[in-house]
Amino acid sequence: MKKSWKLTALFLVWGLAAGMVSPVQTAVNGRLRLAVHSPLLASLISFFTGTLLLILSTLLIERRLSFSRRVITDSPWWLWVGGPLGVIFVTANILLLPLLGAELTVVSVLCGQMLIALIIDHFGWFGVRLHKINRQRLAGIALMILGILLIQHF
Amino acid sequence: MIFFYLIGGLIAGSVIPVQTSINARLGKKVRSPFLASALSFFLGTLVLLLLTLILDHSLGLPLRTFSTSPWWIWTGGMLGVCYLTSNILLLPRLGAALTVVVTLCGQMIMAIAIDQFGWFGVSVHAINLPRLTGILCMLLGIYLIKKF
Repeated sequence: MKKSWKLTALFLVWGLAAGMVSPVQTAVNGRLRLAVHSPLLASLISFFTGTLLLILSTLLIERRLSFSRRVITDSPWWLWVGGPLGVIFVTANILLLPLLGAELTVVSVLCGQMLIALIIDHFGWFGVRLHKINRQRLAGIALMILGILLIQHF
Repeated sequence: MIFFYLIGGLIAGSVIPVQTSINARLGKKVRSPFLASALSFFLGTLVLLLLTLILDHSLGLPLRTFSTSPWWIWTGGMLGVCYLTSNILLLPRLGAALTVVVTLCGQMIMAIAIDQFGWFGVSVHAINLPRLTGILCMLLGIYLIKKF
């Protein structure tokens, strides 16, 4: 029992550390943009090095890079747009950081994230389980927007 | 003007839950979350390669960049992979709500620290009581959405 509590604590610290990595990534990419004089090239270098690391980890962990050809023929086209959507996220973060600062960038991005997550849940898009909007969830979004306004004004 | 930037941030954030849903589905199809991440990053790289060629007309980067810049400017992509992979590994162990809340707390703490001290060349913006209240509102809002 005690051991499993220690394990949970370890996972919580890991989660905290993983979250801390995210604004650092944005700041590091922002600095890369200054060095290469292009936000797109900075995004590209970031994605390219990330791809290399993921190919290596996949080979180490799964010992394969192949998958059934049926995935390509039998799947909906939108299965392949996850990465391109990530491009919008990383590039927008690089562009916004010098304009908004780290806090406001993180906070506005989070608010957009929660808003769309609520809408996806409400309509059950992409095969997600239906979860209707209720008063508490609306209050949550209102609080997040209030938070943005407070941080932006002071 | 700041209004437009904030809208930009909202749009940037709105692609994340869509991406997560799509990549989860891809992970099931190829039977590996790691391979799904690798495919997702690879396709993103291709799109950026095209965009950079079209808009910047070059992929060139002065050799001086390597010698005059700090080494850590090249680590952004790897940091992104750490964040992504940690989320995949923690989700089944902590549950969705706790994973989101704990990684968000980490994000807020680090964002405050970066603005407070002006790390990585970001302009200094000291924390004060109203800003701190704003952060607490955000966390409370996220908690409400995750809980109900």
